Amino acid sequence: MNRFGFGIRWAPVALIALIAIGGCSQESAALPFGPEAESCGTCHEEEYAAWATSPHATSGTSPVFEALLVEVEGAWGVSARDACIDCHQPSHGGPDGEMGIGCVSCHAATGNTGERDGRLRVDWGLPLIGPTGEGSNGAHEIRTTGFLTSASLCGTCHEVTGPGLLDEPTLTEHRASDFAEADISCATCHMPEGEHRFVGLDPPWGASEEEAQRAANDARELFRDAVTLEVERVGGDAIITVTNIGAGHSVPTGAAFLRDVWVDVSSHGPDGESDGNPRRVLSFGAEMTLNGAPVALITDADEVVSRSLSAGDSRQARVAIPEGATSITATLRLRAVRWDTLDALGLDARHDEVPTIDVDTITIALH
Amino acid sequence: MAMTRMFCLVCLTLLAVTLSFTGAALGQEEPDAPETRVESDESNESGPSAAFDEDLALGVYGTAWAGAYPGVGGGGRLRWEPFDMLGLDLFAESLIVDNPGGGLRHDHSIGFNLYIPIELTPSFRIRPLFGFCAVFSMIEPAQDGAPRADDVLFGIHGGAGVEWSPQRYFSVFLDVQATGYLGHDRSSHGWTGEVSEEYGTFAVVQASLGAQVHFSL
Ligand code: HEC
Ligand code: HEC
Ligand code: HEC
Ligand code: HEC
Ligand code: HEC
Repeated sequence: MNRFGFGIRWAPVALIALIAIGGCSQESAALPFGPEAESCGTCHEEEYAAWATSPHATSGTSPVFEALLVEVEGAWGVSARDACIDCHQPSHGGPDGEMGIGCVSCHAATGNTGERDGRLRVDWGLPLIGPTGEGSNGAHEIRTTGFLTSASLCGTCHEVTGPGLLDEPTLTEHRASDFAEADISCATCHMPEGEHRFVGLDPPWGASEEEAQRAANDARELFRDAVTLEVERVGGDAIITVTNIGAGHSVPTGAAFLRDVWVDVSSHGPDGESDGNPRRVLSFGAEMTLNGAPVALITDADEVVSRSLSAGDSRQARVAIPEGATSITATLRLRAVRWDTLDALGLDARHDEVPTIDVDTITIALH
Repeated sequence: MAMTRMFCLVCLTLLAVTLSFTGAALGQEEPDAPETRVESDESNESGPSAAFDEDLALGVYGTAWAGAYPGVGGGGRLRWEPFDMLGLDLFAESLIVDNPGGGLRHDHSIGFNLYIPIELTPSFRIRPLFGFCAVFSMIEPAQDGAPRADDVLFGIHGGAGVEWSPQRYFSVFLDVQATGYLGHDRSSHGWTGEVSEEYGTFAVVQASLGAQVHFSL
């Protein structure tokens, strides 16, 4: 008995099923070559050469990283160590790929499952992602997405909440800055004209002296854009002011537990002689302590306090001018890795590779 | 991805089945009724009261959520009243739900109500109800290619409904219920589709307004 008229009744079901199944089919364009940076580099020589000297290329093999891993495993356990590796060496280019953040980490990124902790989705079975979408020339397919140039892509890795005491809120800092509001994102500042050197503070470990010198200059230039130093005399005191005018986040950001950024102040007598050693007056690297006493390694600390200078903020120090001084000099200095941290990691042999960079020096005459 | 599409498909199918049953029943009720309900036909030729004497009913309704998840949509349900003082609704609903991060969120729930029909007059009833449901909640990301933040929620609800039968075989109803959902916090915006690893609870008040046809087999 066809009481309910089966034929007609199933029509909407069939229709909806067809629509749903239709939505499932997905095009996939396999990459016609390997996903490793080396393979991209055969055609994109310029980007490859720049990337190869960048911290992204060595994020899994930097000596500081490798030495710290040992400490992490001892202090926080194996799973913490694995978490470090998952972000620094995510193997997005396959198990035989680069030991760091390769081309496909960014150019095959389809989004993230959280804007933090390296929760990036990478799929190089889909067309690669480029800024203009031009490249469907037979070499490989290309498409554009807003993700590539967004702060969200960079922030997926540059926003770290653990393991252990790790806390690197670069994306959050950026979002709170005026730059984010003005739509100036990470790549705008860090990839001028699309260049892939990703200049930061880290030295190019193991590079030639020439390359090391160039990297130090780049870091100095970058840092100069970010921070101003001012010295002013008020009565018997000198006021030292440091302002973060140009970084789209705090200074230092990220691995602030390694960084040393500070101001040295010295004064000179009438004969030009310096009055003893310079005095350190402002420090911006993170402060690490165990039971209140300073330590050199984050893995030894029970507390890490950020002293970074937020975007747009200033910090001041007041220094009494010594009797008889005729001039006072302030120098903003920077080290990518603290001296005592290198020692504590057993990397004392590599002090030469981590120069102390004088970013800016100001001298005022006192009459 | 494939799983969530399956869920979606199942829900849509259920809804479609319910709707087509309802449609069929609406079209077919007249010829059937005299055969099966001869007795009541005599006393209730045009009277409303006998609708609630039927064991089965099919309903369609519009529904809205307020609270943790504001949304609107529709549903269908099949009901069975095996005892005078106990009834069971099986329902399927689909709603479009507000998603603060952008993108289209659509939720599909299936579940049941157990209720106690209390006849105040032959054509007017109230019914305290409670029940469970599972919701297949889908978010279509605003940005094509962004990861999805789909989830399955489990709900337990309680509330009450009123039903009024102006006509033989036909009634209109309004249900209001509060639902507590167990699910995951989610965030879907831009290129991010995040589903928290921990379970959380969410409270929703739901109101449904609809019509049903009553019949017996
Ligand atoms: C950390 C992310 C990241 C990595 C790693 C990366 N790129 Fe890029 N790439 C970008 C971004 C962002 C742009 C867009 C730059 C712009 O237009 O401002 C870009 C642009 C490009 C372009 C377009 C032309 C240009 O230079 O602007 C090419 C080609 C390219 N990348 C190739 C590569 C290759 C090859 C590698 C690996 C050796 C690589 N990229 C690694 C982020 C990355
Ligand atoms: C979610 C991603 C992420 C995780 C997890 C992470 N890092 Fe990093 N790490 C970064 C980023 C991004 C930078 C660059 C920030 C900067 O330069 O200030 C960085 C910088 C560093 C540096 C300085 C650069 C270098 O290689 O010399 C060290 C060392 C380091 N991390 C060690 C660790 C260790 C050890 C762990 C695990 C306890 C860890 N990181 C976990 C993202 C991560
Ligand atoms: C066989 C040569 C070849 C290889 C290998 C290759 N590309 Fe390309 N790619 C091209 C050409 C040609 C273009 C178009 C011209 C240009 O932009 O340089 C292009 C364009 C691009 C662009 C720019 C698209 C835009 O929107 O402007 C990106 C990004 C890119 N390729 C990334 C990659 C990555 C990542 C790899 C490795 C997984 C890779 N390519 C490997 C030849 C190649
Ligand atoms: C897949 C994770 C990942 C993504 C995506 C990523 N980074 Fe990085 N980035 C890292 C890690 C890890 C390091 C630390 C490498 C090191 O210093 O040894 C790093 C280092 C850097 C550094 C150098 C830091 C220093 O002190 O020298 C800069 C600059 C940088 N990233 C900028 C960017 C920008 C801009 C983007 C987006 C276009 C981006 N990153 C996307 C993981 C990532
Ligand atoms: C307005 C320009 C600007 C924007 C936007 C910007 N940066 Fe920077 N960034 C700088 C400058 C200048 C420095 C050097 C000062 C310093 O070391 O903080 C720097 C330094 C860095 C460093 C390495 C040095 C450190 O402090 O450890 C990393 C890593 C970095 N930026 C990542 C990012 C990421 C990720 C974003 C986006 C979320 C971003 N930057 C947005 C200008 C910018």
